[in-house]
This record gives sequence, structure tokens and C-alpha cells, in this order.
Amino acid sequence: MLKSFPLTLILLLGPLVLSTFLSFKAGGVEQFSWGDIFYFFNGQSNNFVLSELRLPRIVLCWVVGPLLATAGVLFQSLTKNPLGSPDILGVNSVGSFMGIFFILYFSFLPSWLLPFSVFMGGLFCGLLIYFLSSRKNISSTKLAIIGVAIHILFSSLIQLLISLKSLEIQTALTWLAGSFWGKGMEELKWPLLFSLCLVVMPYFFIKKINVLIFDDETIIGLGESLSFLKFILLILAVLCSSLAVSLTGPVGFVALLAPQMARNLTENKVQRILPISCLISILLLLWADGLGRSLFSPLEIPVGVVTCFLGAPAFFFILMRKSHLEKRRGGAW
Amino acid sequence: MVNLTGQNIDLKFGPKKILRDISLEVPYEKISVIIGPNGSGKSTLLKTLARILKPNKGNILLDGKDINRSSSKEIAQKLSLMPQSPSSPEDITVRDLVFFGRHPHQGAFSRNTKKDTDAVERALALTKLESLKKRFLHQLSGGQRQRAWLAMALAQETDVILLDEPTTYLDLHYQFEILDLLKVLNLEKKLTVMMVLHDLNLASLYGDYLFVVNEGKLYAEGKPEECLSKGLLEDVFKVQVHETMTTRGKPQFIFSSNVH
Repeated sequence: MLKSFPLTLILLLGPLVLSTFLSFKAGGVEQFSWGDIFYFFNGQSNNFVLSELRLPRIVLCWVVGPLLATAGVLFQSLTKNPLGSPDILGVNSVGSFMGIFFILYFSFLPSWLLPFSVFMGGLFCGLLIYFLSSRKNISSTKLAIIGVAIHILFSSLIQLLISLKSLEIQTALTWLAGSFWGKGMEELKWPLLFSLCLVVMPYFFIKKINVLIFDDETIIGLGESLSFLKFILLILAVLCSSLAVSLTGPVGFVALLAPQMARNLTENKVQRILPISCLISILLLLWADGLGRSLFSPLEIPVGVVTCFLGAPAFFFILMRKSHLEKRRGGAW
Repeated sequence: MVNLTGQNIDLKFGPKKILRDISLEVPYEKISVIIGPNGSGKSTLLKTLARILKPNKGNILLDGKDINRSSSKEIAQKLSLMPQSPSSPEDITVRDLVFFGRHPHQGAFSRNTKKDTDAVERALALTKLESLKKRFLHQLSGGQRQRAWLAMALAQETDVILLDEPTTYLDLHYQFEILDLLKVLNLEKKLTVMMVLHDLNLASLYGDYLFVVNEGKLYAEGKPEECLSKGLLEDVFKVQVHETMTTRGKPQFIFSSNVH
């Protein structure tokens, strides 16, 4: 397995750049040649479809990807559980519930309030998990089960909201499936800036996050204040996943898979895993969105649906391989 | 000189009192051992001294400062802890593990300095892990892994080290190996050692000073030869002492079964 960090970075950046340009060509009614895209980037042509429809969603991949990956890495470190991602823990479901609630009942309010609504939901769930996990005798497995329960509860609450209010349903449903559709560049300016800050933040806590691989006694023995550390990282992780959810709706599996794949590609150190998983996450989103647009073109499948279709088997594959490795090594996962 | 003392410690889990009014002073530059039957609160006492658990009443003072009111990082520079069978993270080499011992001495962005590397190399040498330092933790035997955790605590370069049953799950040979190592460290580096041990004979053999805990109270304390007696063992541990003898001035016991 590849373990050299610079080499992994370079090997990822290549496909990433290529996929970004390829993504301009994917799907849609209007076909573009490489020439068209080249001229567009040179500023020699100003194509409406490229600049107003394609560019924003590709930028969105680059914004949401790192957010999802960062949230995934942080939640996995916090819960010491490879399954601890915002989608599994229920953070995204509670956030989505609040998002749908906002879209259906508070559509008269300015739309920039949507992320706050999602954040409040995510924070509620995050705090719940935080308090449960700071109690004794809560294993990672129990935590994951609690997350699944929260997820199911809020999914049905979302269904309830939708069945109560059928008029604005289309916007809500599109958002809920995880969609990159219908964003303009102007809307992306602030999220872009904000997400950049969020994605950079964990690097200020690298040493502390690395210590989270140990159990609580060892962490305290090494001089960390456990409750403070967990609290800060939890807020950061919820902010990342909430911003991602409010931009695109819940896009499943990416936050779970990207850090897992990164762990296979590089050393198990947060300073390595964070950047690598961000790049993998962007790559996954570019392909998921590109496939979603081209498979049944001109019809479009929401990106969240594609990530789930691709993510589920990939996740099983990782699980199988992992347990196989563990068996050989004789340790418990 | 770093002094660790506990004053009138009370600790409850819910309504249940685990520690009752325990006051003790950890002997400076000595090896002291906490012994007691299962559920007596000996591990809890060690964890309270290590600030893992907070007492409901009473104080633990390190150098005269309350450890539950000082910065955890400052304490970690003076006092290290080796928990009982810590869960080992996957994919970590021995050397990387030992480097974590330097954590309390480092800032948020500081890289490993010469001082850090030296401390790690020293800890690896003391625990005879130099040849294994590039191995992954999961590739080691139980005894080697225990030595690796000890090396991490040693790299912390503290004056006091607390160990929670460092010999658990180890074969007899490795039990002696790890205790011999602690003895050497105590003699050569003037390390103050405080640990919980299950085995009474080992406690007597290696401990300069013993704390006997029973039902949450400090039942007795003193040098092994003063404090360990047939009567105490039969009272506290509910075992039949068949024979008592003395090895190098330390009492050793042979126990007998109740069924013949």
C-alpha cells in the first residue's frame, strides 16, 4: 500500500484536475468540446451554461467535499469509531429535518438563515452524542446504534413534515436528496469563504486530535483536558457537516468513505489524513455529480442518490477487507 | 522534589461509597504498592491520585498544588500514568507511540526537538525496545507491548509514575522483567513509583512501602516486613496462609486451599 504522503498527494491531484475539467463536459443537453472549455477558461468565450450552470456546481464540489471529509475525520476521531460519520451518527438527519422545517415553514425568511437552522439541528444531535459518550459505559457500538435510532426517528419526522405540507414539496425534496442543482456563483461566495476557514481550523488542533487515538485515561495522563478538547472538536465537526448539508442537503457516504480511503493511502496521522481525505472527497463528488448528470441525460439524478449507490458497495468492500486484515493480525477492530 | 499526597479522599459512584476518608503520602523516591482484594477500591485510589477520577471530598496535592485545580498539562510534566491494559491504537509504531510521551512538553505547533528525540531514545533504551522501535504495536508480544506503554510514560520524563496493575496478563517471566525495570529506574533515576499490584508476594518483594486498602479504607500501611502478616492476609484477603518465610528480608507467603 502507498504510504508516501507527497506521492499520494500528487497522484490524487492529477485525476482531480482532470475530473474537474471533465465535469464541465458531463451531461446536459448542450455538448461541449475540450476547445469550448479551453476558450471559456481563457476568457475568450462567455458561455451561459458553462459559467452559470456548470461552474457553480463544480465549485460546490470543491467546497462541500472538504467540509464532508473534515467532518468525517473529526467525528471518527471523536467517537474512535470508523463508522462515526455525520450521516451515521444522525447529525445530518437532525440537520436536514431543521432544514426542511425551514424551507417549508419559514420560506419568508432570508435564505441565508437556512444554514443556521441546519446547524442548530446538528448541534442538538452532536451535543446529545457528546453527553452520551462522556458518560461511562457507552461503547462506540452503542453510540453508532443511538445514531441510527436518531437517524430513523428524524427521517420519519421529515416524512411527516412533507406529508403535512405538499405545496413547496419540490424544493424540499430536491434539497433532501442532496442536490447540486440551482446554485449561482453569487450565492457561493460566503459559503466558500466560511468553509475555507472551517476546513483550515482542525490544523490548529492537529496534536490534540492525534492524541484521541488513545483511551480516556491515557489522554488525561498525557495532559489533555478531555472535555474541553472533545467539545471544541465536536462544534467544529458539526459546523462542517451542517454547512455541507445546508448547501446541498444530506449527501450520504462521502464523509464516511473519504477518511477511510485516506487511511488506506497514507500514514494514520491526522495531518496526513485530513488533506488526503479532502481531495478524495472532492473527487468522489465530482464523479457522483458528473455521473448523476450524464447517466440519464437530460434527466438528472441528485448527487446524494449517486453517492449512496456507489458508496454502499464501496463501504462493504472496505469493511470486508478490514476484517480480513484484522483476522490475520488477530486484533479486534 | 515532587510530593504526591492525598487528604481525606472520599469518592462515590452514584450512592455507593468507593473510597472513604483516605489520607496518604506517597513516599518520595521509593516504590510503593497499593494492595487489596477485588472491589476494595485500590484501582480507584490510583486513578484518583492520577486525576482520572475526581474525589467527592478531599484534595490530592502534587507539590502542594491541588491536581484538580491545576492545568492537566503541567501535571503531566511531573506525573505520568500507565493505565491498566490500555487499548492500543491500530497502525502505530513503537517509536511513534513513545513520542506521544513528549506530548505534555510540546506546544500546539512545535516539532520534535533534540530534547524530545533524546528522551524517546532513552526511554526505548531503558525498556530494551531499540531493536523493535519500527515494529507496529500489534506485532508485539504482550510483554513487549507492556514495555512499549511503559516507555511512553518514561518518555514523559516525570518524577512520579503511577501504574495500574502493570503485570496484568503477563507471564511470570515478564512480570519480573517489568518490575525489575521499575526497580532499576527507581534506584538509578530516583523515580517515585506508585502502583497497584495483584500479587501479594510481588508487592512484598518489590515494594518499599505498602498501602493496604480494604472496603474503601486505608486498612494498613508500612514497610512490607512491618505491615504484611498472616493475620492481615487472612482478615483482608480471606485466604489461608500455609507458610510464611522471608526472602531478602521481605515476607513471602504460601497459601493453602480450603478444600483438601
